[in-house]
Order: sequence, then C-alpha cells, then structure tokens
Amino acid sequence: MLTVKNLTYIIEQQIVLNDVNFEIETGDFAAVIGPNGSGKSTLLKCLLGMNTKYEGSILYDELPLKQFLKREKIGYVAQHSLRYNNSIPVSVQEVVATGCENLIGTKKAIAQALEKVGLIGFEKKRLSELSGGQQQRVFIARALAMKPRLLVLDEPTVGIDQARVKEFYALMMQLHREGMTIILVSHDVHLMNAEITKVIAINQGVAFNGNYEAYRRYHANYCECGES
Amino acid sequence: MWQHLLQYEFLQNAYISGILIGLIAPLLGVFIVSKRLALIPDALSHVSLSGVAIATFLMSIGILPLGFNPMLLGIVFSIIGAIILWQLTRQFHNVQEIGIAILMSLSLGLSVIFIALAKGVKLDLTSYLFGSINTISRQDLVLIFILTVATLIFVKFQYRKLFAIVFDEDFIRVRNLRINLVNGTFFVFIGLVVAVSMKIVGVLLVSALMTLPVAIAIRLAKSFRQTIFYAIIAGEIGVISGLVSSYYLNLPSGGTIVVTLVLLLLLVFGYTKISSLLKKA
Repeated sequence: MLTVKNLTYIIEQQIVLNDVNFEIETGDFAAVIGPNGSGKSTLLKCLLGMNTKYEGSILYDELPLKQFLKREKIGYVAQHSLRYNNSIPVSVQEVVATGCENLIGTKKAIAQALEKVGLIGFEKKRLSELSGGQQQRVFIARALAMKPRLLVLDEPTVGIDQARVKEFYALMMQLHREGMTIILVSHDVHLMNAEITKVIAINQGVAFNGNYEAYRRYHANYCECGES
Repeated sequence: MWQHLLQYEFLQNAYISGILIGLIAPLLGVFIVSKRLALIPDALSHVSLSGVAIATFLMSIGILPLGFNPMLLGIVFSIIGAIILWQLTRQFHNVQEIGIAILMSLSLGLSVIFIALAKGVKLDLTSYLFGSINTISRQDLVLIFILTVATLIFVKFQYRKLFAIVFDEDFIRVRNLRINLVNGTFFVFIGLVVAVSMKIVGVLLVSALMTLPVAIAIRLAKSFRQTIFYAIIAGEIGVISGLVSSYYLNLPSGGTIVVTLVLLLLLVFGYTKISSLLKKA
C-alpha cells in the first residue's frame, strides 16, 4: 500500500533522513519508532504531504499522495499538544464534523464515528472538558468519520495514563481486525503491542525493519550490547 | 437622544455603522483569536493608517483631488498588508511575530513621515488614532454596509472550511481540501474590516473590537457556534453602550466602546468564577 524509496531529506546542510526505504502492506498495523531527533516527525510530514522538499519517492498504491487522495482518504491523528487551541470552546460534534464528507457532519455520521470510539452521548460536550484519553478518542473518531483506508497516528500515547493506553491499544486492535491499515508513530520504543505486524525503527535511516517478534529480539540484543 | 437620532444624519451614520461593525468585527475575531493571530488586526490598522497618511500627502501635492476620501487608500493598503501577512503566516511561520512587528513599525514610520510631508491638507490624526464615529459619512456607511453583507456571505458559505482551518489546518491539508483561496480571502476580509473600523474605534483600538468580544464569549460558550453568537452579542453591547455613553457624556466613541467591553469582560469573568465556586460547593 505504501512504498517509501530512497527518501532523503536535508535541511540547512543537515541530513535529517538518509536513504529511507520501507513498505507497508494493506492491512498492516505498523509502528514507526525512533528516539527524539531521529527524523520520524519529518518522515511523517513527508508521508502526509506536509513536507514536499525531499528526494526519493513516496507512493500509495503506486500513486503519488495527491493522486491517491483523489480516490482514497488518510485519517490523521496529530500529536496531542499540536491538535488545537485549547482555550477556544469547541464541541465534540463540531470536531468530528470536520472529518465527515464535505465537512458536513450529519447526526448519523457523527454518531457512527463516536460509537466506534465509545463516546456516544458526548456530542454536545465541550472538548476541553474531556480527559486526555477521551480527547484522543474524539480525534480518532474524526479521522474515522471520513472512512479512511489508512489511519496515521502521531505519538498517540503521549500525555495519557497507563489505563488509557491499554484502552487505546484495544481500540487500535479492534480497528485493525476490521481491516484498517494503521501507522503509529512513536518515540516510546517500549509501547509496543503484540498485534503490531511491522516495526520500522528510524534513526536518520532505517535501523530496523521487521515483524514484532524480530523487533523484540533485536531490541533485547541492542539493550544487552548497550549495557555491556 | 431618539429625537436627535431621527433628526441628524451624522448620528444615524454613527449608530448604523457602529452596529454593523459590532457584528462583523467579532465574527471575524472569533476565527482570528482561534488561529492565535490576535496581532494581525493591530498590524493591519497601522498599515491602513499609512495608506491614509500617503493619501493625504498625495492630496497635498495635487496627485489626488482634495475631495478624495483618504480611507479608500487606507483600505487598499490594508488589503495589501493582509496579503503580506497571509503569506508570512503561511510560509514563514517561525518568523511571523517579528515580521508582524516590522510591518507595524514600518507602517507607523511611514504614517509619521507622510503626515509631516502633507502640507496644506489637514489630517485629523486624532480621529484616526482614537476613532471619531461622528465623522462617518454616508459614503463611509455605504462602504461599511457592502462590506458587512460581503463578510456575512463569505462566512456563511465558507464557515465549515474556515472552522476546519482555524481548528486544525494540518488535518485539512491531509484531507487534500483546497484551503489557500479561503485562507487568503479571510485575510483580505480582516484587512477590509480593520480599515473601515478605523474611524469607529481608531487605529490603536481596532484590534480590541475584534478580540475583546471573543475573550468574553469563550468564557461562556460550549461550542464554536455559541462562541460566535456570544461574541457578536458582546460586540453589539460594547458598541451601543459606547455610543450611548459617548452621546450623553461627550466622550470619544473608541475609548468608551473598549472600556465598556473590558467592564463586560470583568463582569463575565466574575460571573463564571462565582458560578464555578457555587458548583464546587
């Protein structure tokens, strides 16, 4: 579904991404991980078309992003702190509506999206009154409202307590089983889940690319080497 | 007062234009504040003043006729300034604050120079700096009326996109929706509203008419639409009470409108604080 070939990004003579290559298949639950400063946020911006001054190619179903978006949708859930101006009153239904077709949220479409994330009855609530975990679900509902083929989440577990993290993974697993392709970008290499089908560790280039089990072995060896 | 209102055209112009600006300034203000661009109206009011100053200079050297309305060049400058600021916020996000500050200083510098150079044509600077609603002419009123209708139409038909842009621009970009034209037009409307509001509240206070009603509304509203509604109500209360008190107390309209809005903000702040304490008790 997604093919990244020879992706290189240089800004102010500094290499941020160097010859990144990987593929994500339809139905994958992929995790793109890496420490702060590894280039994963830049990679995410490139993948979503927010950054276009790169070398190499990014193809979705063998199409450039703009052409792919003409017939398919990508649901995007930004990092918690970047999402919105918290001081402005916005209701849950207003947020979810921006994910709906033509930005018009019919009651039915909004209810369907909120039902998926377990927030039925929250339509009229002010977003800032909800907990961090609930707010995250609202943003996932917004992404789901457009019925995307691919869901991309940036640092989804930042600012959420452990119990909510479990709930978050339960929701991701449910969506994955329903056939959704998911890409999760995170700096937290420990926040892994057995259901993740592909792990891509980024550190300017691709440091690791494989399945979850292989990643666990790689990570264990890496830690041992680091300790010795 | 009612008798005078029916009798004198300048009072009618003042009240109608005040009510119209009290509607559209907070309406755009909600989007401006939500997008964290509260400095933009301030910058544009300064740009607009430089247009007025240059028009006065051009009138003094005979390039423009003496009967020319300097506000028209103020509007043109404000539109150009709005387009510059739009590009600044779009492409140079990291330096936008300093860019706004430079544009403001440059505009004020140009204003001072051209006002000094304009010999023989008297520009009532105080009325532009602090507002003088009683000097609004029928021509100004027609301009304000057309702008009000255009702003309402623009917001009505582009509301969803505008909301989506101010709320989360990245999300909309990933959705592949075309937003550049709407965003640019939005900035032009800010420029227009700022320029025509200049005579009502003045250069130094025009941004207050766009931001104070929003500051009041966000303490009361639960949704974005409610914020717009409350902001317009607050804007109208501010403008009308400012106008009435300036009529009876003979105070400048701009100052009284802004002070009324600040008092209203304090009142709402007190009300929300007390009601939240009562809820906890």
